Amino acid sequence: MSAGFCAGITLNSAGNWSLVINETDVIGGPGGNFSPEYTSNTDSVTLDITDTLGSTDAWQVQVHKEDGPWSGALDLGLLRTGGGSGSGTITGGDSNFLTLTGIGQVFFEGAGDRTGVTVQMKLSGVSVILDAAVYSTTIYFTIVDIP
Amino acid sequence: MKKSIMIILFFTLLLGIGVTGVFAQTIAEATITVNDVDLFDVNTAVPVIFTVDDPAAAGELPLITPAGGPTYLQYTVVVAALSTKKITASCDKAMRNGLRLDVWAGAPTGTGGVGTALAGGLSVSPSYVATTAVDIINNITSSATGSGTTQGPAVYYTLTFDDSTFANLETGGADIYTITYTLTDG
Repeated sequence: MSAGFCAGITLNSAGNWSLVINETDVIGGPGGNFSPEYTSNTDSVTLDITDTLGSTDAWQVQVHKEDGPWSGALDLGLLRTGGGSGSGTITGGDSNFLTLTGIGQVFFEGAGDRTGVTVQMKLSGVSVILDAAVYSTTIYFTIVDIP
Repeated sequence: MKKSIMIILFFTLLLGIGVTGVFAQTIAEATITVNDVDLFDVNTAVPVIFTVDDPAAAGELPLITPAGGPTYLQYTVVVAALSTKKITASCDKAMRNGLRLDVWAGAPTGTGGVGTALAGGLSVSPSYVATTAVDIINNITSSATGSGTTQGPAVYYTLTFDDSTFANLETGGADIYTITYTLTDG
C-alpha cells in the first residue's frame, strides 16, 4: 500500500498481486504448456480517491509500470472491475484490460470522491519458455486534477 | 534592488506549477514466481519386438523383423537461466550373444529449448555393462514437446548382428530388455 497527496486530491491504494506458477499448472501432463493467461482476483487492488473539492472536481487516473526483473514475453493488463462508492462519478477502464507500458496511459476518469474502486490484473504471454525465476513490476497509479 | 525583483519572480513561478500540475501517485506490485518444472514421460508402453528367423535364401544372414516403435519422449521443462537438462538411456542387461540393439533419438521438436539429439545413442551389445546410462538428448532448456501421440522426439530401435559374438548366437526363448529413460540435470 502507498499513498500520494498533492493540492487537495488524495490517491490511496491497497493490495498487490503475487502469482506462483508451478508444475501443477502444466496443461495436459508431460509435454504440455502453461496456460498463456492468468488473472488476479477481481479486487486485487483497491483505489480510494478522496479529498477532492466536490462532486464536480474532475480527475483522471493514469497508469504505467516500471519493471524489475521482467520478461519481454509477458504483458500485464489492468481492468477496473468496480466503481466503488462516493458522491462523485467514475467512467472508463472497465471494458477491456489495458496493457501497461512504461508510458502513462489514461486508465479511467471521474469527478469527486470515490472509494473502493476495484482493479483486476491479467498476465499474458505465459509459456514454458520462461526461465524459472521471479518476475516483478511496479504499477504506478497517477491521479491528475483536470481543470 | 535588482536582487529583490528576482526573488519575487521565483515565487511566482512556483505558484504556477502548483496550480497547473496537480497530481498524486500510488503504487501496486505484481510479482510472478515461475518455479522449476520437470515432467517427463514415454508416450506409449507398447513394446518393440524383434524376431530373428530364417533368411530368404541359404547362405544369407538370418532375417531380423521389427514390429512396433518408434516411441516418443515427451517432456515439459522449466529451468533457471543458464541451466540445462538432458535425457539418458540405459538397459537392464547385456544383449545375448550375436546381437546388438541400438537406441537413438530423432531431432526433438516443440516449443522452446527442446534440446539436441546426440549421434550414437545407446548401444547394447553382449559386452554392455548393465544399466550404464548414455546421453541421448542434451542441452534442454525451458521447453515443451507437446503431449500428442506422436509429439516429442522419436526414439528408434535397431537390432543387428554383433560380428564378434555371432558365432555364439543361440536360438530359443524370448529375451525382454527394458530401456530406461531419465530426465536429469546436465
